[in-house]
Amino acid sequence: MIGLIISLLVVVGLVVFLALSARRGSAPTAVGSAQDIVGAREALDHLQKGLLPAEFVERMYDRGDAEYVMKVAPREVQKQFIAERKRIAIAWIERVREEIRGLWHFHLRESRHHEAMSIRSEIALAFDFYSLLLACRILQVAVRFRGPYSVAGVVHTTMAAAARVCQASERSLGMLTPAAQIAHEGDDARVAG
Amino acid sequence: MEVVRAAEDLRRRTLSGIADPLDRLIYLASMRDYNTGLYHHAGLAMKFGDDVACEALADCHREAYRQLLGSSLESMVAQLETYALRSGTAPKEMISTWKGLEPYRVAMPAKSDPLATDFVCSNVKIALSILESRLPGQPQPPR
Repeated sequence: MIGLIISLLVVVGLVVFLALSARRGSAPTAVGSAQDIVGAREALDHLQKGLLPAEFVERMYDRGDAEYVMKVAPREVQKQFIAERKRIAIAWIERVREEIRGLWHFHLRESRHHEAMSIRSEIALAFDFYSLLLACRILQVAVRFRGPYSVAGVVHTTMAAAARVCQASERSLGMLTPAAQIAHEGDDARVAG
Repeated sequence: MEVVRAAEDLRRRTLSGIADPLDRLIYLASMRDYNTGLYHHAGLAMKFGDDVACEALADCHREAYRQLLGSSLESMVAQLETYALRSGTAPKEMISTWKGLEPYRVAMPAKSDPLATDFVCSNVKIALSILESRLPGQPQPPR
């Protein structure tokens, strides 16, 4: 019991230390790199428009399709259906994970230097990002071994966490985009001049 | 605003006669030039101009795609069955051609999300397999 408490304290201490040292880390640039911002905007668009819309995710994990196939199709078509849904579910989780990772890297490099964030909010955001990445890993393993229909509950929790992370990134991008555009326009004007 | 009006015109005059999203998707994809990716519709272009007509067709194509993405597998099977009946091709021949050539892949709108497109194509594949299993002489599902 004491060992567990000590381990927990060490983990919490490490998280706080990492958050503080990262905060004091690299000096902020005047404006975020335009390329980073474009990349983050793309990742956010892919998540919000392509990967996270509820209607798409609900269709992907819809049990009605599975019940229909089990009722009307022969065994080999049932197998084909399960294999296809599993393949797509794993690809979806992998894509969500990649985009979330991209947003996290963007946050580490750029946005928090510009946003007046308290340590508390930063730790909360780091927790959201890491728990989301962990949830994606767990989902991948669960889908691989137990099929896409065993994880519907976890999918909804993951989507809610992803939406929170997207909102935070949206705020950061909202703050950064005008500055980056001005810098970019300034560069263009110098090149033209 | 012109594009919205042109799309409404297209829905009212042409697409209202094509009920299923699969039929609409294939019809609208056939309006698209393979080389340029631009859509052409003589009547609509005459009324609204080439650019507006092209945008309106693209909008309706994306709409049909979203509807197909939202279709259940059962509905997809029904849509394929209706499509085969309407095309006048023997179901066996159509299923075999669609399984071999996968023509539905080129019917997707440009810039649609690759994973969503993969999902639609996967559903079409499963629906084709279900239809194939219903052809005479095929093994029946376990009861």
